[in-house]
Amino acid sequence: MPRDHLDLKGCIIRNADKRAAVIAEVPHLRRFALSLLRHSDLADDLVQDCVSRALAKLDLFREGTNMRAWLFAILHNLYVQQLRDRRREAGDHTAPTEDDIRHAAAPDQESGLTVRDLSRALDALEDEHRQVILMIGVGELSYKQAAEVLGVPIGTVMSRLARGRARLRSVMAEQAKPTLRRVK
Amino acid sequence: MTTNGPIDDLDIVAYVDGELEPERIRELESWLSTHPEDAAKVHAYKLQNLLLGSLHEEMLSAPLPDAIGSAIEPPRPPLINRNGLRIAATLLLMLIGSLAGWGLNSLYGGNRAPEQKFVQKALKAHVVFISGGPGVSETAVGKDDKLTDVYAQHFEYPLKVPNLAGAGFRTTGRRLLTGDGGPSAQFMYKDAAGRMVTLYVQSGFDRSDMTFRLLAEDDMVAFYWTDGPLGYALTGSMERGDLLDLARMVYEKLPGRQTTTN
Repeated sequence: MPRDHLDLKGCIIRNADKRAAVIAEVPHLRRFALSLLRHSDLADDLVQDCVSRALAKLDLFREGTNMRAWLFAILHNLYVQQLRDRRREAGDHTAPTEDDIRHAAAPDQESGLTVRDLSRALDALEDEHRQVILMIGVGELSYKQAAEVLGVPIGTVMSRLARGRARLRSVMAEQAKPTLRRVK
Repeated sequence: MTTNGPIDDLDIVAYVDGELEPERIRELESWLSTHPEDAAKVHAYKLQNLLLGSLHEEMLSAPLPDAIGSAIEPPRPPLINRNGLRIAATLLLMLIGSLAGWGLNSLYGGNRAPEQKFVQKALKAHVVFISGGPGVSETAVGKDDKLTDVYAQHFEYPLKVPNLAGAGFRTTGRRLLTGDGGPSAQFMYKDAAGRMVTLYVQSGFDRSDMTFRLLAEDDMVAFYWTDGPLGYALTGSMERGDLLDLARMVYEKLPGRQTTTN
């Protein structure tokens, strides 16, 4: 068998492996995107964009590195770009705003902390704090991977986490006593 | 006794996320015993992680929407080995689609249930073989001509048992099987290094099913495809490239590929 044929085969198998690895991460991308955007159509649009781009440039994925972190980086860049575009076209009312989504869910009667409380509390965070909390807590990236995805030093990831978690805690503590505030 | 200064918020966050160095963990844990406010913080952050862990967890098993499904679906490869196109090249082209198709299937349901069932049966057959189950030849080796008739009758289609001796694999067993999904047969091969390969053949497919796919499960790899009414699955626990070479040998020896001989 000619040598170039062997190489061709190896290359195709490697790219097919990468492709399968991308596809295997799609559910995690959807979960992260939904946590971030809190709107399933917007989240899936973002994931679709991300996956299309990833599959189009599979050659750029370095073997031995983490596929999820690579995909999260692509998704993050698309997300940042979207935010920028949305700010530029501030008059666009067709897409649901974060406020629409935030108020769609009625507050729980229970004072126990639930996932829904967490979801609502995340809304109160600054975007860069929320992102890093979700990358680590939902996306299960390591600090180092999150730093690479965001293109910031690991110390920045940690300080964003520390501030974000503190804020999340106080917001959730506030949510846990809604009846007291409503008494008039 | 702390060696790296007092515990701060960054330590607490890293501790909760399992990113703190072991020696610092010990310092932090003894710090917490005397600093209830920080202990409460650790407790609250662990609760955050618990809740984050179940945030939109349902997405991990949710079916994909069509838009994403088509984004990950590869362009359809040519399915049939056309005249003038080299078999190997065709196999490779089909393989591109097959790997993605396999991933797509497992996530997206897909409409290839008969093929999925088939390859699962093939994997089971291989497991039975490698775990020392029935692998004894039912007919003495060396009577291939007679066997060809037997198989033709069994499948109502000509089947010549692929000979993999060229790759160092000798036939160690054959079984004719019947069951749901149609008549099937299992051929077992072994090489000098003890590597085992199972070829599983089953009839009842459409001509239009002709595809070439790969499934990797546990440490097994299976290449499978259909040719005429027969489905073939070659399963082994070996490097994909090696198994692909064998799959190519089998493929090239199929009745439809050898119209001038036999």
